[in-house]
Amino acid sequence: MPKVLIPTPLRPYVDNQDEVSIDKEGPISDVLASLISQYPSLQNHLYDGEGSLRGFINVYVNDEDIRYQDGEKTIVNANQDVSIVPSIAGGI
Amino acid sequence: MHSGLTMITISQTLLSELQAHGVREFPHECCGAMLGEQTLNSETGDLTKQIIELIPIDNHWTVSDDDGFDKRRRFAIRPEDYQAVEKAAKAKNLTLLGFYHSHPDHPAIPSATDLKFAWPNFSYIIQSIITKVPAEIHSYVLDLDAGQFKPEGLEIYA
Ligand SMILES: [Zn+2]
Repeated sequence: MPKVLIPTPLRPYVDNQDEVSIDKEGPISDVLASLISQYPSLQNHLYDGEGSLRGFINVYVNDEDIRYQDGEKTIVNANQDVSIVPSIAGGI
Repeated sequence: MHSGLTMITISQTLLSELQAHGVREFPHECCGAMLGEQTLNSETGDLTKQIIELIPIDNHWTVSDDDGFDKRRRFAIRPEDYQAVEKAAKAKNLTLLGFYHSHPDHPAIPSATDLKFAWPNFSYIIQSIITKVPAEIHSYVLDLDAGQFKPEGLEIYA
């Protein structure tokens, strides 16, 4: 089963786990949908109102940003890790 | 998620490290991660976070990133640096409490840009550095319902 690594700020929405195993392989969009079906309060933190992945979230499959793979169609296999990595930035 | 009051504590030694980082990078913004421990008071629901370690991180903001401003007014942390601090926290059995950054020649008030990138459940410490001298410092957490930052207590101990 693929594992999704949950960043610290989102752990309160997944019972404080740092990773969640998902009983689903295939496109990353399906894997994330499965994660959200288990933990619905993640929805608004991962997706915007139009159903697009939020811009300040980086999703890595096998340590590579899905933007440089097939985006949300990037395939996740059984033994692969998915990392959700928040963008941290700011200023004045 | 957490509904009680939150407070964050930092030792004078770590505060001096944080301020030295801000002075060193001046007139650019500095940034870094804060690792530590959290204690929830089950009676009051209040959450106290103790900073145990700071991890300075290179400011990787590039002008093309967004809005024409440079590192004097912006900071950005690379995803690989973010992942490294999560790994470090796990290895040390600590919690990634949040991030600090400096406001060169500007008060320690969160900006619209800070809000745009803010995550729930993190502390954001802002250190004002005025003409290369540390000035006020404040900590904030995102209030999800209000869609803005709220200040949290920042206690400096010897
Ligand atoms: Zn700021």
